[in-house]
Amino acid sequence: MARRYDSSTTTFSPEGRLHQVEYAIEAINNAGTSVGILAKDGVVMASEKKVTSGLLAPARTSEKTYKLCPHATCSVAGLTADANILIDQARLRAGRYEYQFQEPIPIENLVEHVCNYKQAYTQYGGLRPFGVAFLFAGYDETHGFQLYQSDPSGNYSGWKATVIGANNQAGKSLLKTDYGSKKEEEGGDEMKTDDDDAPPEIELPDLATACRLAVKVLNKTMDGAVASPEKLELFTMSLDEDGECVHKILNAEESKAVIAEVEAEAASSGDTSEAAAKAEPNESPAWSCSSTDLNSVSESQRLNSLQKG
Amino acid sequence: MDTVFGVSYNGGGEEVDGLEWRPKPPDAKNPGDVGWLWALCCGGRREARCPVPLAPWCGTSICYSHSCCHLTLGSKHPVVLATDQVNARSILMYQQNLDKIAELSSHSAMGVSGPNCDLVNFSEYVSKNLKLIELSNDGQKLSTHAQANFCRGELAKAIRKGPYQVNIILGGYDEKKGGSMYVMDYMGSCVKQNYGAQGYASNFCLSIMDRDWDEGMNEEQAVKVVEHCIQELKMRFLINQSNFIIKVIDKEGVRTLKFDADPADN
Repeated sequence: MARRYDSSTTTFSPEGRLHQVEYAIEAINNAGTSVGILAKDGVVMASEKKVTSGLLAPARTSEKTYKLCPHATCSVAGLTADANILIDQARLRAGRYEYQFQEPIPIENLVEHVCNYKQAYTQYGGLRPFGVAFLFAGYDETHGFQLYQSDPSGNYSGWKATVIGANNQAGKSLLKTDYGSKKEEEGGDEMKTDDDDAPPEIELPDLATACRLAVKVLNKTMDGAVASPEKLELFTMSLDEDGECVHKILNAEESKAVIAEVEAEAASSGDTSEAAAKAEPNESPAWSCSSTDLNSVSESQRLNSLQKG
Repeated sequence: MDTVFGVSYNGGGEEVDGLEWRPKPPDAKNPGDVGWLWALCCGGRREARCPVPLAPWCGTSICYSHSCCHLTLGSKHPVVLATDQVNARSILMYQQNLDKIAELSSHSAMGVSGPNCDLVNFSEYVSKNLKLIELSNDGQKLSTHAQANFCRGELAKAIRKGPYQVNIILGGYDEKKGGSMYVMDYMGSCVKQNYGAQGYASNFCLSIMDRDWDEGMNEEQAVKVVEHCIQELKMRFLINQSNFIIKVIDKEGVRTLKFDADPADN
């Protein structure tokens, strides 16, 4: 009976549902996974790159991670063509805001604008909703580093760690147990950020730890397929000495180093990821030596702790 | 007063080198005709007489009708805004208890000078728009810097269509950065400064503030400097400005410190 209400996005079904919108959300659950993790000195986003054909010319720029403005980046799950439209909107909005106020746009403002645009397509006749979910990573003066997730319905929410795309349920449950320090047994079933008054039990990880956790989650969502630098893309956002945002997509070598550490960790703490989850908070100085980028990251960590102190 | 008077009568655009008041002997038949004002051009080789015989005191009020003065002092902590309270046009004085300092948000305000129509129109337009932005940002306030640039943008937009004849000093207090103030003119230039004055008052006040302004001034000291400026205006300025209003913006928000005439009185 649902057929009658399938074709139009603008009509509620008798059960009070918008089927087209739900299908769009469903479409994203088959798309390449993206993981976002908030760290105390930055944000990490890791995405699964689907390898379609070896003959395909490698993309010059990332197909998953797009810079929106100097202080915001998004990661895409879903239809790339649809995403491009929304990314254009976001860039335009960020640019206009900066033109009008001579200040960087607050991240939530940017996210809200994109989501309002998405929402319109669930309401006005003859249009199909955007088949895209985003992770937004950003930094602003008032709220520091932030991570948001949005879906085709136009809903958005702020998170400390979240997953979109294929197998996101499995990814989220791993994050639930592994994210934050495990002083308390409950790893925080309420992961939504509440800006300042976050529950004290959840302590934000540092960037390196967050990177490893992201790879670990991606390992799980990719269903046992061994993660390799060709299949995943690691993005980090942090601050440099001048307080400017640094966007970085880790190159093959750097990603390889992170993956190797995750594997080493899993091996040392028993072999399943379950056991790895129970291991003590990951602290491996190896990471900071292995990657060239890490010098600047540790620098900004130091700076952050100085500012806090 | 003479300079402005001369320029405004020398509409042809020639440089005026000087002005000369040439009185007439008293005439019982025509008591208003007391003399002519002459503008001297080209080093005195040319001269032009003002088309209407005017008494010098008439000129004063005409000149003054479209300008009022306000002065501001900003420092790390409080921002002090002051304006005169006159609403006048041509030779008419409409009121002397006008509040020319529009409160934009809980922690920012702007002193506006210009003809009353533009003054009211522009300050309402800006303050209501900033309120709207604040509401749609979930109550997140814009920084003083952002507010000033919004304001400047509107002036710059208007200059190509129908300019608002307003000069502005916008002050605000940000939790992190403390107090700051921005001086704008009607053409859309905007400068962040530590003190400023516009209109005729700047001739008298800038030098005082230049000498007395200090980085670490507290509210009391800043207000003292402003009052010194007002004192100077009352003493030296040809145009009598009896009423002033002073507002202070600090971490508690905007408050009216004192006024000579209550703006609420009708």
